[in-house]
Formats: sequence, C-alpha cells, structure tokens
Amino acid sequence: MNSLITGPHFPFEFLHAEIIRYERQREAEQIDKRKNWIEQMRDNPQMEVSLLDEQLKSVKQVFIQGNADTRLEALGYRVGFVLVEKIAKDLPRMVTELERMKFLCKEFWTAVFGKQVDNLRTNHQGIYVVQDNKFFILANFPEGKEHVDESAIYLAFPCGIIRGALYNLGVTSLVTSSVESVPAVKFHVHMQQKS
Amino acid sequence: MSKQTKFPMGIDSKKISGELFTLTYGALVAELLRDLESPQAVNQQLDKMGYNIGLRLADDLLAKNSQIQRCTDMHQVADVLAKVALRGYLGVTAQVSNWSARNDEFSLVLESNPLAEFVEVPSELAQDLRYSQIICGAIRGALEMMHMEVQTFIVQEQSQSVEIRVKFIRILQESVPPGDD
Repeated sequence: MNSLITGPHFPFEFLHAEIIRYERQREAEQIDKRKNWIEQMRDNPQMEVSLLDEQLKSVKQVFIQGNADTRLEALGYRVGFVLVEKIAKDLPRMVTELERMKFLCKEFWTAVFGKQVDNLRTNHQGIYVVQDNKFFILANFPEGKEHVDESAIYLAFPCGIIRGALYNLGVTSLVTSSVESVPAVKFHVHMQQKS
Repeated sequence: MSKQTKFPMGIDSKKISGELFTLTYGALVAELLRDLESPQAVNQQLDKMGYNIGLRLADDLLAKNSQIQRCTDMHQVADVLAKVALRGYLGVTAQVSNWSARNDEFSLVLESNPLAEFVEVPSELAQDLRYSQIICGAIRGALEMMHMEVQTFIVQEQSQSVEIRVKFIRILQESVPPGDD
C-alpha cells in the first residue's frame, strides 16, 4: 500500500467543471422554455382565466432565475461565507477595511486557493484590485490569450467565494473578474457604501 | 498540490481544500434540490455528474499511481478502489466486505463520509435522497474506463457512514467501428 499520493487531493476541479456544465445546460433549457412561452403567447393572445394562473407560475419560474454566471456566483457566495468563518475563527479581530483585505489576500487566499495573491492594489476609495498570476482553477488551462473568453465562466464561482467571505467579515462588496492572459486573473472588489 | 506556507494558529491547507470541496458539494446538492422536482431526480443528476467525474478521474489515478497493475479479478478492483482511489481523492479508506458467493459483488463501507462532514439531511428527505450518490457515479464511470461495467448503489447511508454496493456486470469489449477497414 505504498501509494505515491502523499495526501488526499480532492478532485475539486472536476466537481467544479461538472457544476458549470450543469448550470450551462440549465441555462440553455431556460432559454428554450422562455422562447416556447413567448411563442405560445403570440399564438393565442386570448387566454382563459384558469390557464392564466398556471401560466403565471411558470412565468415566474422562467424569468426570475438568473443565468449560469449569476447562479454560480450565488453558489460560491454560500461557500465563501461559511469558509471564512472556519479560517478566521482563531484570528484577532480585524478593524479596518484594509486589514480585512489583507487577511483575504494572505490567510484566506492561501488556505482556499493554495497560494498568496501576487499583487493587491487600491485607490483608497473602496476599490481594490487583487491579482493572482496563476489562479488555481485556470492553472491547467493552456496559457495565453486564446481561451480568455471561455475562462470567464470558471471565475464566477471564485468571485462568489470572495464576495461571501468579505460579507461575513462585515464588508458588502461587488466582485468582478477580468483576465487578460490565462492563467493570470484580476479580481476587482468594489466596496459598497454603508448607508 | 498546494504550496505549504506558514499559517497562523494551525490552519491546515489540506484540510481547507477538503472543506472547500465538501462545502461546494453541499451547496450543489442544495441547489439541485431547489431546481429539480424530486429527490430521485437529484440522485440521478448527482449520479450523472459523478459518472462524468469518474471518467476523467480514472486517467488521473493511473497517471499518478504507476504501481497499479492490471486487475484480473474483482478482489483486486475492490482493493484499489478502497485503498488507493478513495484514500487519494477523499482521504478515507473503505472496508471491503460482504462478498457475494460468486465473488462478483461487494460492499465498500466508508466509516466517515467526508462529503457529509457538515451535513444534516432533513428527515423528510432522508428517505429518498442519496446524499453521496456522486461517489457511486464516480466509481461506475472510472471502472467503465477500465472496460468494466458495474452497477453501483448506496445500500444505506447514516449521517457519518455510507455503504456502497458494487456489482460486476460484464467486461466491455473494445468495439471496432463497423465497416471501417
């Protein structure tokens, strides 16, 4: 039983890819449903009242749910929210916004994404840019500018993780990502003003 | 995989990466339960996802463990599954038990289920939902890559232990596309 594997290597990448596949398929189905519904409405504008109720329900189902990206982001939010609690539970209290961002970039990033971020910049007005030159999800992608578009959906989930983590630290934010060349990623964190 | 850097106060990156996996899986199951009409449909979807993962995981496993030889009977298959695959990917070893008389069917018993670490399945779902169904799918997919068709299902699932039944069906033959010479 002298395995070469030193420790468990959780197949997160595979799971993540499957989730994306599912969400995409679902999005395609939703678009189809929407199309069908619109066509149906066009065909018979006069609907019976009893049917209308039923229609209303399906309309809600079809239109309220977001597309694959938003749903992935929401999923990540949940995960990040819980994860940060586990990581930060023994750490001293963080007072300032900058301290929280530093925690995110050092401890949290290392624990969750396997390495520290390469660069953190801010304009001191609530916008932070976190740069990771080799983001773990994109680490196995072919490098270069060729697959920048395809990589976008793979970053929705991590964006959610970051937003969820920050929210649980007491910072409401909006997180977006941009890729210029795989596997380097920039995450843009916009702090929302407290009202 | 991850670089070991110094952590304050015992944060273990291996543990966290496991937790990331577990929590992500939990969020997925919760989402599927919202999306799909019945727990059975959720099981099916999880199984399908596991199958797709298994297809790719088989490659990964063989690439990283060159000492694995060709398996000639199900006992060896069970050994590799329990001691290498589950240990390598989920960090647990399973017990192999309940061999059938014809040696084509066995149970893998996981004493602690890493997927269900933070989970409590609500009692109204516990009857139908197979929370760890994705493992079954992965085993089926991985063995199919090795040209073995198997049936896998969860016999019983308590909060922390799960028993997976694996039944050998047949060896898949390499199929040559017809009329292609």
